[in-house]
Amino acid sequence: MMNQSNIQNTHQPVIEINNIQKSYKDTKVLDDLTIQIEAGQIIGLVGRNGAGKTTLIESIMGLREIETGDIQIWQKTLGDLSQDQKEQIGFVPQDSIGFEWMRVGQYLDYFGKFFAGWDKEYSKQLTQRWQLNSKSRIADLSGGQQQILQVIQALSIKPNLLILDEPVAHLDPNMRRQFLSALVEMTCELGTTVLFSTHIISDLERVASHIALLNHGKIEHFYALEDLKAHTASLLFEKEIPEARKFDNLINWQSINNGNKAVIAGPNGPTVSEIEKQLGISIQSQPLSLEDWYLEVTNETNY
Amino acid sequence: MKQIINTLDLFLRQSWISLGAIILVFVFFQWVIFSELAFYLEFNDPKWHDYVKTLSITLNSIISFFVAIYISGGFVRLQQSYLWRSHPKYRMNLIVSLILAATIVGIFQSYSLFVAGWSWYMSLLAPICIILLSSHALAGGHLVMKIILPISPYIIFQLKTFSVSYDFILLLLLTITLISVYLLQGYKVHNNKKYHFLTGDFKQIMNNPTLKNMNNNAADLFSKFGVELKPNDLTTAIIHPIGRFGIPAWWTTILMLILSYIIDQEKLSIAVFGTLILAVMLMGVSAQIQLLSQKTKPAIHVFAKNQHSQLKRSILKVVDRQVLLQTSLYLIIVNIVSFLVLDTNAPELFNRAAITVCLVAIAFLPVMQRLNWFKVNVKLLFIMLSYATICFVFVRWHFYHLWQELLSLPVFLTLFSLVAIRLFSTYLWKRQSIEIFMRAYG
Repeated sequence: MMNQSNIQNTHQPVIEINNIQKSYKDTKVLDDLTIQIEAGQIIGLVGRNGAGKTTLIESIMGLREIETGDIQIWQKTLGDLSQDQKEQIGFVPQDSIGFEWMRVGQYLDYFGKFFAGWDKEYSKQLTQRWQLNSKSRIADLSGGQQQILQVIQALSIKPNLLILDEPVAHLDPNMRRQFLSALVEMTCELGTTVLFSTHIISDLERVASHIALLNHGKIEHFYALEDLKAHTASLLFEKEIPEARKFDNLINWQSINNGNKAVIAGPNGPTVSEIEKQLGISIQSQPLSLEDWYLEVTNETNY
Repeated sequence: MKQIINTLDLFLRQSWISLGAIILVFVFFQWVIFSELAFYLEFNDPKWHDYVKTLSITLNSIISFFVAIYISGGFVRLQQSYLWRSHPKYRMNLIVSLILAATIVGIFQSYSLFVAGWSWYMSLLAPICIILLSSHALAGGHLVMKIILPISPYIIFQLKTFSVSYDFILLLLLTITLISVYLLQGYKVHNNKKYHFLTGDFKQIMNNPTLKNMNNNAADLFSKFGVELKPNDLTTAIIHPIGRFGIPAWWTTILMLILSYIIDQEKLSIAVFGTLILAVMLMGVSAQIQLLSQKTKPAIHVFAKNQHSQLKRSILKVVDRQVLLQTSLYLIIVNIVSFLVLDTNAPELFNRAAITVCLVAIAFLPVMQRLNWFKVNVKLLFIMLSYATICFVFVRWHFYHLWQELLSLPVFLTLFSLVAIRLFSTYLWKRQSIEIFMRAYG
């Protein structure tokens, strides 16, 4: 079940995905998945290994065929998008770059020319900032450097929509930080809509406006980050309170030595202060980090 | 247009030494054609003219095949970009560049065909068609297409046996080429191309009895047998997908058998072109052998510890063993078929053809595995020249039955060298740093 945030967004939808399904042999990877991404949002897509993040991203890019449902970008199916619109989509795939016989500068020049918005100066700036030698052969670059090269290529087309599949998986913390700041710069400057998958949850806290959790083939949680933070906490009750178990956003309740511990996560229920008000008691509470939230909501033993 | 020139540049630049090798083969074959032509002009023998005509188209076909493999290698590598599927301009750019590259090389080839006596349109169009069709050996989207389209020119030329005119043959060739180009632009390549080697099982075949599934299943049986013999042998586990390598040879044999029945008078031609069929398939499966690269890298890190060099040597040994086993099986089958079906001279011819191709296959293996460092490229250069020599002698023998030429010292030395090179690279392989090894495989 999908929980939509209450955030009021007046922007037009950039990506609309309605009830898509995709299976590999007998395994349903995407099962009636629906999500709407609006202009200017930076969506962090998270989920367990094998949850279907790459399949979802590649389906959006038209690299995989879906069985049912439809995907629209700027209110058009991918096939109906004009060439100009297609050239406004930047993409960084998860796979290794290939093209090992090419040089860095040659790679950027060659692929950049297929995009109308290609900014050669910006690509040079990024190449220098991330210390890539434009004369190096791609075969001689490390995995992280190859990944950053793909990111430079995607950013340098100054896209209106940027889709990245685990773009920071091979990057060291310094490079990751630089990448995230470039991403923020771009969204501030151009209002780029960004969808990126990652396993590094702490990165989301730095840049994402929204978080989408893919689980069991569906977007199970999709929240504005601010809303999520306001509604996520670990609560300590000194005694059993039956009313407390009825909150919609309660995802974990367990007995501990000095009382009961409850975890609320998600804007589909009350905040801590609202709970205190409803129950008429004072509650000890601790905010949860995004990583703790992720672990709680993906823990199959919770109810 | 500028972007098409850039793409052509990338096609050519992928390996300078391989390109140099192809240019040398090109020059060598053209020299052979012109020297034979000069001989004909001196004596003006009509029988010799027919020979020169056939020689020129055969040698140019072999050149076209090598050029196609090289150019389509670049094409396939660029095809891996996600833009191939999502960006029509990029797709069109690659296709146009491939056609343009074929046209440029075709124009260079056309001169020798024209002076050998072919019509200008045949001289110009036939090499272009053969390059484009042969490029499917690597760029083809389906295993059947990888096999059938590259050999189609040789089958079409056999129509001459039925007194079909060369104009009609050319028309047919053009039609199939146009269809093949259309097929090429429609191939859906995933940007993460995954090869599923050992996926075929009985249930799958029953549900979907395709040639691919039957091929996979046969490969499974070979692999399972190998794994059961040596259950804890890491090297066997790493290379067992290569079991698939030998399987297409069985299908070739069936194809050759059918052709032999259909075209009764041209058994010798089929034998010659049968060698090319196998060569085409060996090239076609080269991409699949790349799976080794993905498996070798983690295996070395996890299992080999400080014995990298030993593991590398043992992997190559097992690869060799498998190739020898598969090619031997092929030889046995061909022998049985030729003994039971064909006339008395043909088995000998089949044997020699098969041995030649098998030896070339063994020698080509490092190239197939994309061991792209300098030494291997120099080896490739030598191998291709050897291959050219063999083909030349083979064609002469085919037309004039000069049996003694096959027993001559140069041919013997060439064949011996091929085996020696392969064995040398396996058993006396110098220790390479792990980085070079990983790069070579990755």
